[in-house]
Amino acid sequence: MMDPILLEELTQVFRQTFLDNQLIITPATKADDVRQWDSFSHMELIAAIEKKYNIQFSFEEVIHFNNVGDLINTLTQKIKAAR
Amino acid sequence: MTPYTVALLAITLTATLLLYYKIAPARKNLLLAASLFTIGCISPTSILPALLLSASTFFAASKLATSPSRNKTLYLTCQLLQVSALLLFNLHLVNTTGHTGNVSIKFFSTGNLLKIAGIGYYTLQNISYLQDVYKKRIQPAANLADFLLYQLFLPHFFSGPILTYTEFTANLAQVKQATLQKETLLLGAQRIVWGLTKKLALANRLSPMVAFCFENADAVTFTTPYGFTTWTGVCLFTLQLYIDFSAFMDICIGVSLLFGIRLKENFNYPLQADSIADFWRKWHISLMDWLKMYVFYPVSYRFRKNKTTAILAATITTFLISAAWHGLALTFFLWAACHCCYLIVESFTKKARHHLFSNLPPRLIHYGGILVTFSAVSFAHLFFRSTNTTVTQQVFHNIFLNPHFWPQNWTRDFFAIFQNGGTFRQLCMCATSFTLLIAFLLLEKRTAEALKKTPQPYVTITLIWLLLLFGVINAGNQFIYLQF
Repeated sequence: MMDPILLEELTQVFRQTFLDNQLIITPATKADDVRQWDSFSHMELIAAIEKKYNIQFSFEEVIHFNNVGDLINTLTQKIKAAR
Repeated sequence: MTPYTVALLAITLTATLLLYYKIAPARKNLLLAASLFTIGCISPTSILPALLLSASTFFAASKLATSPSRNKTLYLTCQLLQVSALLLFNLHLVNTTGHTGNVSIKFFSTGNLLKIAGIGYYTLQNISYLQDVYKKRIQPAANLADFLLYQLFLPHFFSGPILTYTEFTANLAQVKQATLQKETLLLGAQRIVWGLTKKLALANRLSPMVAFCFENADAVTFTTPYGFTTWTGVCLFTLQLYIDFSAFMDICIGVSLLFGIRLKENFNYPLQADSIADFWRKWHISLMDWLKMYVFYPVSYRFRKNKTTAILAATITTFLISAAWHGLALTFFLWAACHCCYLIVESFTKKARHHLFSNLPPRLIHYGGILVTFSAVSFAHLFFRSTNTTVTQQVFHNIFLNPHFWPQNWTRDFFAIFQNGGTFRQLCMCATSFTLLIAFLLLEKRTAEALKKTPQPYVTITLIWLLLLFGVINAGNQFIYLQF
């Protein structure tokens, strides 16, 4: 079950990174669905999430994210492991 | 492409197709045999390097996958082998095509080194395959034949699209079950016709027009090379390059479709891109996807804590490698430097541009973006097309430092230039070429999308008529991207 608070927090990170206060993300959201989400902003987004939660994604994890849901799953595991 | 080559391809394709749907269990081997045979006939010197580089990759990857600990030395040695082969080939290209860029890199004379087709494409595939196996992203190929088919599959051997092993094998799963479907054959055939029409009725017409602007840049024949005329020639090269390369891709994808194998699209209407970033999402997609995955992302990940450093390092590295891949000539590096600057400026001014233009109508922003992007891309192509920096300087001077920009007599100073003469017949041919070009630009997307989705007999017949009436065979016959 996806944590709604985590999704809301991530939505704020997405909005700050992509400079779009109206942006809504769901677990199914992909890079193609967000115009500002391109190769340049992808790592910027990853870095912003890492900074917020004080975790680190490996490169292999990053390239295997197909959508926001994959990102949230990995993030959730890392937050639990960090506690 | 000689008549011999065309006849050979047609006969091999027909024979292979007939056998393919009759012998289900041996289809993969049939495709491999047909590919090897055809490559061997068209370019005999290409077979041995392709087999050696591919076989060594297969065996190395098999060993990497089965060894309990990562064999970094073997991995790096194999990668170095691929990169060295590619650089050696590009050195040869510089030495033998005259594309010197005024950079003297002549470690040894490769004048006797014969042509090696496809090396720019399968070496990249080898590099990505090795990395994917080493990092345990994929399982290695089950056998050498499967891997060789991936590397040597004829439709994508000479000019891509560059595929990862996963992308290619996703198709192979259907090969055994493929049955002769009328719709698939028609879709493949009409795609081939579309590509042939683009190549012969458009790209080949543009080729001498462009050649004249670049090869007569020193105005030996014409004493007043008007700026607008030369700039038009540069823009025509952008169109020629796109039409030529995309035509080849259409033919390759069409041939592949005949066998029920879907290759990746390499273009997504890049002439409609409204920014440079958008352009690179739509142009030579397979190469850019490869560079993104194996160069851009690793570098930007390494420097992700600092946004500016990440963007600069990743963009510069990516385009440096892209330039080297195209050829070790200064002109390619200048072309890449242009795109590097464009992307960096676009990235850093994204917020400012968003605020500046937010009140303008979206359609104005979109079409204005298309015009600016096309102009920027064409300017960079000034370097790409120039065989050396002397030509670049002269073309640049003709456009930007010329006291005469606008033609004084349009017939003499514009149309006659592109047809290398101003007789009535030549002017009519020029008008025909421009008309066909405008029709293509207006109707391309609608036509191409229709041809991809369902059989379109009337459209295909029209294209065949256009091909017969307006197709030309000339010095522009060679597909441009066969040289890379």
